[in-house]
Amino acid sequence: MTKRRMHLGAHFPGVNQTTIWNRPESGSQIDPASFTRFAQTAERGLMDLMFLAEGLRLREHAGEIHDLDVVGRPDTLVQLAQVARQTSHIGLIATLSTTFNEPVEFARQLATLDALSNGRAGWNLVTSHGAFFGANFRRGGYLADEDRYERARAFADTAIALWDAAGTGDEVRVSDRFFELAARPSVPPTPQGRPVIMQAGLSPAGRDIAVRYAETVFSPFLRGSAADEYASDLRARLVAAGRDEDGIKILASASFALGDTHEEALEQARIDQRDQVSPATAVRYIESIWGRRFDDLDADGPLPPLADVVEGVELTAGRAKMHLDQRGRAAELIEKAEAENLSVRDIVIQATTFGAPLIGTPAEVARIMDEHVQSRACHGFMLIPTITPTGLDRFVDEVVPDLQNRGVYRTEYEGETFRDRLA
Amino acid sequence: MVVEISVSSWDDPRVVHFRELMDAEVQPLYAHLRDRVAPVVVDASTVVVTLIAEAGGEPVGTVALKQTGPYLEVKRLYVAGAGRRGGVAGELMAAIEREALSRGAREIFLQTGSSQPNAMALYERDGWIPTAPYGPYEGDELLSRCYVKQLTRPVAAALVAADGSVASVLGDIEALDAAGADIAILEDAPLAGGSAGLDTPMLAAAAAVSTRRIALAPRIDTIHTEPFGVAKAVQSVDWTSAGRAAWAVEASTSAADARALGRREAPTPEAAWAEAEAVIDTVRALEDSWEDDAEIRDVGTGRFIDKDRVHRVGVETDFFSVVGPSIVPRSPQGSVPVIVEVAGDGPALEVAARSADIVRASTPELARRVRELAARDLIVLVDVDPALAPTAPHERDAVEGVAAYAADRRASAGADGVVFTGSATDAIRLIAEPAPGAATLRELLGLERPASRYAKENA
Repeated sequence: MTKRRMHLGAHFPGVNQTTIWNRPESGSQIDPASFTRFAQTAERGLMDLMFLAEGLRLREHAGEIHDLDVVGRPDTLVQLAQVARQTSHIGLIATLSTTFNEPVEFARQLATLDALSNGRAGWNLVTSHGAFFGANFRRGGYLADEDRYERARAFADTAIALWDAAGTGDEVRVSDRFFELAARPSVPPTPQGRPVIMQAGLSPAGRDIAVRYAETVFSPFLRGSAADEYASDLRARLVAAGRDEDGIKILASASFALGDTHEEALEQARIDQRDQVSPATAVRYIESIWGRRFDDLDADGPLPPLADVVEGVELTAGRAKMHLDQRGRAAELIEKAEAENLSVRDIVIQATTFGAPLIGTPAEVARIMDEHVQSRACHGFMLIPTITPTGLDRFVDEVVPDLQNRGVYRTEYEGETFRDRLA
Repeated sequence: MVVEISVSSWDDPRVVHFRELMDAEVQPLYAHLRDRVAPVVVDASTVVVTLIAEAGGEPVGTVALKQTGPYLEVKRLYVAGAGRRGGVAGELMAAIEREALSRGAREIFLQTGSSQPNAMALYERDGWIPTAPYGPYEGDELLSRCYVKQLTRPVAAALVAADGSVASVLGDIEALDAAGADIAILEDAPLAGGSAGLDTPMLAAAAAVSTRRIALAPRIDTIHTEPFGVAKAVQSVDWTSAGRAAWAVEASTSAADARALGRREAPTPEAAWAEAEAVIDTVRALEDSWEDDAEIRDVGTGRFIDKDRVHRVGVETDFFSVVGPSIVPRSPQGSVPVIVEVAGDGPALEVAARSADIVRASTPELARRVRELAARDLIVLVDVDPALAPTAPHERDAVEGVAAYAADRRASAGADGVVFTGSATDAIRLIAEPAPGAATLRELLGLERPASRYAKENA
């Protein structure tokens, strides 16, 4: 029986709380050369796609600009337009919100990306929460949270109608709850027509969107029962919708640490975690759970008492909500810290290790990845390196050949378009 | 021969004598045209400066500079017999060019006659381009042979239609870059579609990869787009082009555009330009929102940025509000130059005068008006449609004709440069020796890189 083939995406590290910025090799997150370098490395590794997030507003903590993580990035589409001319095979995924973009302008932009890249455009369809981000936009926080996905569907339907109308001369007319418009496409037919659509949300509404539009999803589950349940749920939904059960390629979020020996890889992972969670970051994480500032908290000392928790205070703005039950979460951390004698920084390092990263020698990591794909936990991985822009180098040089030797990964790019390669 | 050149006057008897000698030599050459071409009489009050050349204490030649309408012209170059083999003419011309330059002239003109081939040869060797008879000589193709010379390199811009075919539009921009053009204005298609057009900021970023020095100026609508999005797009074009960005402001009043976006009615021109100006101000505030040294990477305190150097802008206008800061750090040029295009008496004229860094005027008259109205330093460019270039009776090819027409338009506009509205790559090659050394568009244009307004507040 032939092996299931693995797909790989490369998440540009840049503005991300897992990006390590304090090392000599930590490069610029804004210099266009960093994007070029990263994209060309991913393409050398024959990866399916490069992924860029979208910035709508800088993150804030306690009413001030969050200053501890990498921040400052270019416009997603402008940057990808440049990368499109510096690469020739890799898919280019732009994260763009259906809440704060407008479909006519958006459809032209994605068609432009497809034209500039000769058929390699992709769209990560996301929705945004209202008022905080809305403060940078004409309409403010105009959309109720529960309407986000309804607008997303109307938005995607309109954009798709515009892409499909390219070259026909037809006017696209839309009249629904969200849009009242009439427009013609201005970009002639592009190699893919529609860009490849990606989706990342886990809610039922998000999964419905995925089944309706997406060809790939960005999943937070690397392995285990959560990954299996998510994959089988998507398969069931696809079949119910009359689509192929592998019609959506699940790419599992995967940070990684490599070493010449297993012990070296573990040590590298430990060093990475300490660089990701500085003393100041650890204190701020605790503040966001406790709902208050701790100006004098020692990161190497114990956690503050449970009595200090101020419930109902969301100190962090500009990323997904983290802690619905602040007191419960605080109690959990205190218990664990006391049992294992952990400092503030130690416990935060444990708490912020998102999923279990891929740790090991290149051969070990290749084997684990292969197993996950063959067990149908996912179709591949969204690699999230920690260093800009060189964080992918070792993976490409040492893991990719192992994957190829295992017969699970391409040895050259096939097909003409991003969609061909993802198929 | 040691020649000394000094400033004299139009009525210096030595100069008057030389003019009499010149008339005696030249007039017989045109005796056959006397009935058909009226002689042009020089009004002494329009003479700007008169030079005299002396060798060994003896006068050997003269030349004058005259303001004729918008044209600064070289008049009455005469070298007496003794100086004719001694390079006196060349020295007088060099001196009169310096005089013109010191008076802020960007190009100078001259008229000679069809029966003086030696004079024509001299000028052509010296970088003068044949041009159609100008000002008082207009229409006279029998006698007049006119020339123009650029004293300063014009800013050479060109319109490029973002017409949907990637290969052809990138090819056009690359050809302009190779020819030495300074700015490509990327024309957008209507939002309502129907005509071909790529997204212009994205096209600019793509073009930055395969060009070396040309600045890329996407035209961006300010009515149906998000001011926050405009700022991040132009800042990002500046980053991806390493400081070669500008942006041209559009204020859509099209009902079809409004219907395509479906968010609002089309505004009147007055309302549209008031809003466009608010967008310009907002983009500049967002560009300032990160100070240059905001990124500190201070390992000791764990801070990546100094949050006191990243500012909310808190913009509140009649049209929209934006809290900021930008998501994009301050770009190479700090503030990306803003181009406002003026094609008539409408509200764009005042916005251009008040808020533009670069103005594109459709006519020389508008160019002069906007400069007058602005009463501040700004770069003014005037449109040149190559298809309208008149043919000079003695020009050697059409490219020369376009180049001379551009110089003529720039002179009559008192402009810093031109915007070619049609294909003119060869003419650009002729007039726009690539200016070396300038890395950013601001450097090329001599526009200062502004400090962030917030940095000033902190200082």
